[in-house]
Amino acid sequence: MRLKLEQIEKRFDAKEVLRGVEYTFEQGKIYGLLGRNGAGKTTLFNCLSGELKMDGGSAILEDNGVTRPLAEEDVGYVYSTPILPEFLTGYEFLHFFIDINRERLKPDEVRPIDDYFDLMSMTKEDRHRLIKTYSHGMKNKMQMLLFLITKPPVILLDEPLTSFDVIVALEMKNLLRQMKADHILIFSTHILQLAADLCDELVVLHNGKLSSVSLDLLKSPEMEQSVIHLLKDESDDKNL
Amino acid sequence: MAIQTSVYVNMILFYLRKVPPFRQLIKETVFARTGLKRRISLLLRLIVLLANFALSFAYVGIVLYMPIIQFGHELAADEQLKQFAHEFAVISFIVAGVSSAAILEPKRGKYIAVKLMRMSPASYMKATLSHKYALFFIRLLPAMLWVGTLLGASPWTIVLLVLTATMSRVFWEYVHLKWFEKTGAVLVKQVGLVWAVIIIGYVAAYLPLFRPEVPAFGEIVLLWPLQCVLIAAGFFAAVHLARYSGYRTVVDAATKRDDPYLDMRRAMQNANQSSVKMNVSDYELNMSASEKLRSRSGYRYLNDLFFARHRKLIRRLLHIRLAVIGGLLVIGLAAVYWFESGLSGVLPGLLETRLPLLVIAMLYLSTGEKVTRAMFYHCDMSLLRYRFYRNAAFTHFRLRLGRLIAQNAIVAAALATVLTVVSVTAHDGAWNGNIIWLWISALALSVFFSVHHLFLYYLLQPYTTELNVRNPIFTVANSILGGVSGICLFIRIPSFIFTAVAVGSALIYLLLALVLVRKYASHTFRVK
Repeated sequence: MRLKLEQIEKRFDAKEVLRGVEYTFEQGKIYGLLGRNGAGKTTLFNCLSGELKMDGGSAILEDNGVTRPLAEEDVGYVYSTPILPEFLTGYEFLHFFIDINRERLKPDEVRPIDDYFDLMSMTKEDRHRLIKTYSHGMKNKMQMLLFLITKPPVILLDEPLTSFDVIVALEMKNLLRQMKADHILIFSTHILQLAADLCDELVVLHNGKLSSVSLDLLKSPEMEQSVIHLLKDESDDKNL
Repeated sequence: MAIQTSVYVNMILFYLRKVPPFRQLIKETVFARTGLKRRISLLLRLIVLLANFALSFAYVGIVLYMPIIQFGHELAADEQLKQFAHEFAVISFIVAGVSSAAILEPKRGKYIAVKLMRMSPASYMKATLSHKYALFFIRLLPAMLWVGTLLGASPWTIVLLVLTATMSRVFWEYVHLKWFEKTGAVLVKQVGLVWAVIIIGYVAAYLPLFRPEVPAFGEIVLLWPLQCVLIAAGFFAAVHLARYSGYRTVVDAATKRDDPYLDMRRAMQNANQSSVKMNVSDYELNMSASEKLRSRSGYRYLNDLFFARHRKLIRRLLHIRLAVIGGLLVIGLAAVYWFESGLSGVLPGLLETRLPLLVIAMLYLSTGEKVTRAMFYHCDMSLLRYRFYRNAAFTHFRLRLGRLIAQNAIVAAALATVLTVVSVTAHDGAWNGNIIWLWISALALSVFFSVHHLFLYYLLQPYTTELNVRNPIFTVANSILGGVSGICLFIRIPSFIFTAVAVGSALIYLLLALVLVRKYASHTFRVK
């Protein structure tokens, strides 16, 4: 399975944020999307998830030789700040979520609700507590659970690991590694070390275009300098 | 003044850019075009000045003159002038003197100029006070001359009266300052005291129109010796304020960073949020609710859980309305007891032709707006981030509409019951045939307003995550409905015709809402 981005353009008023973005993402890999503040990472994610309409270009999903335009339901979007209905318990939310997706899911794919919580190492008490009382990490686990149930081909993660404690961050990293076999995983981050540690490929969004960082460079000591060089503007050079 | 105008110009340009046709015309770079902004600010000042004149005419015409025409038309011309001077003295000299002093008023502009831009507090305060009272005199004079001459006063009398008012207000600034120096208290922030003065003041201003035995100041305030004293006191205060050296302390007291008066938008936002806030303990489910939920699934499960968990909040809204209706019952029965014969003559007429009054009653009594706010804050604000939830808008719209109609039908039935009891009691148990139309109309209106609030919520989704309303179309639509409801106060129409209109409107609105929500809500029901 591959996700091909072809000449994606997006502008807000006179400001061109995405200027012909082109790239091909593949199943089985975790992609780190790097970019400076305001570079357009969230705009690109919003265009792919259907939250924003593209001004030009397309996103194509290619599966077993069959190609089709990327549909909204093909994309799972994990927000940097998990947004969940806080008046429900984790268990109630999952119960509701499975109910409304039951028709889309194959019967053998639906597991008992408790199995999903076990998978995320959430205790019996926690799953019956109000989401309002959950920690940031637990809320993010809940968001990830939704995609374990519906299994969208493409999962976009907006700054997913930045505010976790070390234990939860490690759990999430392991989970992402487990999930990558069945999905195309793209996550945006500012943290170079995290990208180098977790990602199979690094993609840089700069001046409205995507470019990749070579695999050899990803593990090398010069990676940081090289990425910073890619992200710097001419104006920064003058200021330095 | 320049800072304030600059802030307003930036704000106007910012909000104009949000309106589609202007968005194309006004580029983002406009904020850097100083020359253009200066021209806009001149235009703005002119508009503000004209608005000030218009407001003064409205104040003098509606607040001071109209009550005299309405209730004092039998008074002799000089008595009318005295009543006019009395009202002006009480409201503009005393009430406004207590409630509208600028010296210790918490104001955003004061905070920006002195705290953020480091302007000298003395310069800021002197400029503010002299501008305020020069404008006060100039804008009030034409309106006062207009009404004053209509009541037979000479122009010179009116000029002196307005000058006296202006200088008394300057003296009030001095009183506020002295009070602060002595007690450390800011008078304009004593909300209870200020409102007490406003209410007592307005009663005192109009009471002589109805009770001639109540003393009035009209004659005294027109006496030149008193005017000279007040003008002299104002000059004394002005000199003191010009020489005053402690403005730093005064401004500090009025510009505390966390003062809600400084940022009314934030204060409104906090009030909006606290009106729908819930504690974790409120979310406990009782046994019967838990039992019911076992048989539910999908959106019905979510909806029932929402209403079960927020029952305290939603019931509170209902209880307040039922308490108001209960109060109406007490007032109605008391009126039956006190004005037995008078009321039995009036009530049949009301039931026969004045059922349109129900529109304004149901506009204020229906719970839709508050419930949609709670829905947004506790449920939709998070779930609207998910596409599956937006795509199912029509499903949850129908479920919620059922709940809302049921709740508003209780309010309508309670209102109809109270009016029925009062009518039957007033007629010694005799039944009025129009009561049936009253019941049908009230229930139809409960459907109408339930549909209205939920329909606008789904089609325009006006709330921001801070619970502010940011949709001009939503405000306009509600204002139009408010206007139409206001017009209903004056409509007389046979009850059965009104009932047919109410039922027809409710049904048409319901159908229209179902069609439009089904078609558009998956796109329009979003977090702004």
